[in-house]
Amino acid sequence: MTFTPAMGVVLGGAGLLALSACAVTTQVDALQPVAGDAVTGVTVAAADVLISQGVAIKVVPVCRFGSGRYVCSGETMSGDKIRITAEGEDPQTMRVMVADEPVYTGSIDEVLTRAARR
Amino acid sequence: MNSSGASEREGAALVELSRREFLAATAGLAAAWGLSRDLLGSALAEPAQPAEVPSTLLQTIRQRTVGTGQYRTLAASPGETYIPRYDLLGRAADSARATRRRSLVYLGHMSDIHIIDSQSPARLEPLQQLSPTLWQGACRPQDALTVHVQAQMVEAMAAARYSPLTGEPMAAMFNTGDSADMHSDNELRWYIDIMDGRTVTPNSGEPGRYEGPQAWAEADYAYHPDDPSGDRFGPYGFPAIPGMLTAAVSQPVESPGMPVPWYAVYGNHDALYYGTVPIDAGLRALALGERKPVTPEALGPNYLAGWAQDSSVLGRLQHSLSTQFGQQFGWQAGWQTVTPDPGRELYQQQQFMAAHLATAENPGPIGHGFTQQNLDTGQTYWSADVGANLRLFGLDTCNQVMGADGAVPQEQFDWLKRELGSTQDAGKLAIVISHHNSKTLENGAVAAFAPEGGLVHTEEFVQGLLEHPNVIAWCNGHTHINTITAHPRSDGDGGFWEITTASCIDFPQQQQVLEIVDNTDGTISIFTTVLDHASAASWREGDLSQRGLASLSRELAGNDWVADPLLRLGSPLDRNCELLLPAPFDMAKITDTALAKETAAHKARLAAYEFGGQP
Repeated sequence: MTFTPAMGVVLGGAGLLALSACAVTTQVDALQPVAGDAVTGVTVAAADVLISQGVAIKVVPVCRFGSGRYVCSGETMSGDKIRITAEGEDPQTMRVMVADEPVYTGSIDEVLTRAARR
Repeated sequence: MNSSGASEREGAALVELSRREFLAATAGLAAAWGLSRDLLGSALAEPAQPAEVPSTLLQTIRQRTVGTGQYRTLAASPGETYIPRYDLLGRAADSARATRRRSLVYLGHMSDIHIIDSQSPARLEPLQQLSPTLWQGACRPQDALTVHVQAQMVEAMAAARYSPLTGEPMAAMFNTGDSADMHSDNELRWYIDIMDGRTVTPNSGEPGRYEGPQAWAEADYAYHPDDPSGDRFGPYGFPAIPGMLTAAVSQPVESPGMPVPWYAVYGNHDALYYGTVPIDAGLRALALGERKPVTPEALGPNYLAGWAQDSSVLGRLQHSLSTQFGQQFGWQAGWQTVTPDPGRELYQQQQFMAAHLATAENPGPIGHGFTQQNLDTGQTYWSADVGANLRLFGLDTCNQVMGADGAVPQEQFDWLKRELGSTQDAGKLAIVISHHNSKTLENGAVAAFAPEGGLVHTEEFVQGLLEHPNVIAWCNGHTHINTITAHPRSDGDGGFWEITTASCIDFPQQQQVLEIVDNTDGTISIFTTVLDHASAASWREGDLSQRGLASLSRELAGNDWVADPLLRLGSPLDRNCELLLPAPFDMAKITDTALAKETAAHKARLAAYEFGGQP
């Protein structure tokens, strides 16, 4: 079967039908890519740092975005607070603190790359 | 305790059967599986020992630090031991638990297999050039190798049929969706056949010849293994691998088949085109035709280009209108001729369930969770018991209107809550499986004239699960990243674990096995063990065998920079872990004798798998 301009009209027409059959206010949000996001990057890199530093973790840090930065909070087995901060929507660096002591300050990407290489 | 943390007690389960019970069980199971009584008796009498399973407990696979340009090959690295996670327990666990624990059930988890018929005209690879981030899955360097990877992953799962922790036999495996990448009959059939142990030649169109963008010079957005010097992968350092594409589409791929019953749910790629948009008559015609788009010019006039390039509602509408009225055609530019193939037909959503009902009785179950009632009613979710102590709930979280991410329709959520309640009353543990995870359950797309009922999103869904203490885990996929998330109750009394497995398509191409153990101290643990597929960590140059192509696929995926490959490993807290939580009820109600009978049944199935027995 040969693909013809007429079929193209069908393709586009059906797309239009699909488009018009959806609630306009919700469809754009639905078209999200499936890929790594910034919060995952911060979460994974922070855990990589904590594990490599031998921190005994009771509550693994959970990261949230707000007021222009990511903040992650967790707890060590001895009850000390774990806190990670990363500035901006797409942060390049982060700061990892355990009991108010800095454990790591630097590139997120470098942590991820180091953890994935031997 | 041995090196992987197993106890002496775990090998003693069958001791719980009296001699008379043992002989009766052996006779019954031998007859059921067509095995000799002596052979099965020996298998059942064998005490459970942690199995020497090729898993990431023994070896991991990492990038080398030095490579060609930015390209990095892979190499074996040391294994990773289990890390205990206490988020839901809120305290340290009794260190003596390893000497007391008993296995309740051992399971496999696959997800996001993404079988691709890379030569289908409906695979619109140029979309990736239009918007690499939005359409990052439209054209990967390893697109032609997906069947090889799945077969080697099934082999890895089969090799792990006895637990690396306790040696207990696997009871079932579940697959949390995105099995057929482009919604084609070929992809759906290949995926099911590989699961069932059949041989597949992953080719469509002309036999033995690859016809697609990886062989067409003008598709410079694609990796050309025969000669990458003219595409954007060559300068990155991707190697020339002459013959890769021909080998990929001409050699039969053999699979050992899943050794245990396997279950399946819908993923967004099983419900929508590219997992994102509805399928229409034009796409169906395109899939069966002999013209395949090669460059973005070919897509210029249609609505997909509009969606890919313009994020505004009005912009997308404009693109659709311009296509509708044929204002900009240019159909001759950017197309190639391919050999048509009826196997490329894009299936209807319902046919996904029908295909699962048209499968082998062994390993089964026929339908893999779906039943004739699902087909008759159109209900796309199900529940199934795995033994006497565990019920699986297979959800359909796909938004069938539009969008990659998901939601739970209110009607399905109401059903789930009812069923979880009765499962709790029956004293069974519950595991919920779905494609989407808690980070991707916010899709609000609804049809304009949809019946009332609405969609349930993450917060309400998680809260609903937390209302049922017997829900110990929610297993899913979708993001292609190893992730483990604790969902605690607000009162601090336990909660459930969310376990997201990676994929077979993007690096690191990993899946996992899970074992639930009773620590006999009021806590239970879920052990997660990540599996690499059964192929060499380092691809040997020139190895175009089935196993070699799977190994090569992982290496190519590890260098596909568009896909954020290194992030997808997750952290050690997302991989080999012991996930502790308070037992949801008195586990002593599950007797050792009952467990021993279940173990015998699972062992008999595996003995039949190993020795060719048939029910």
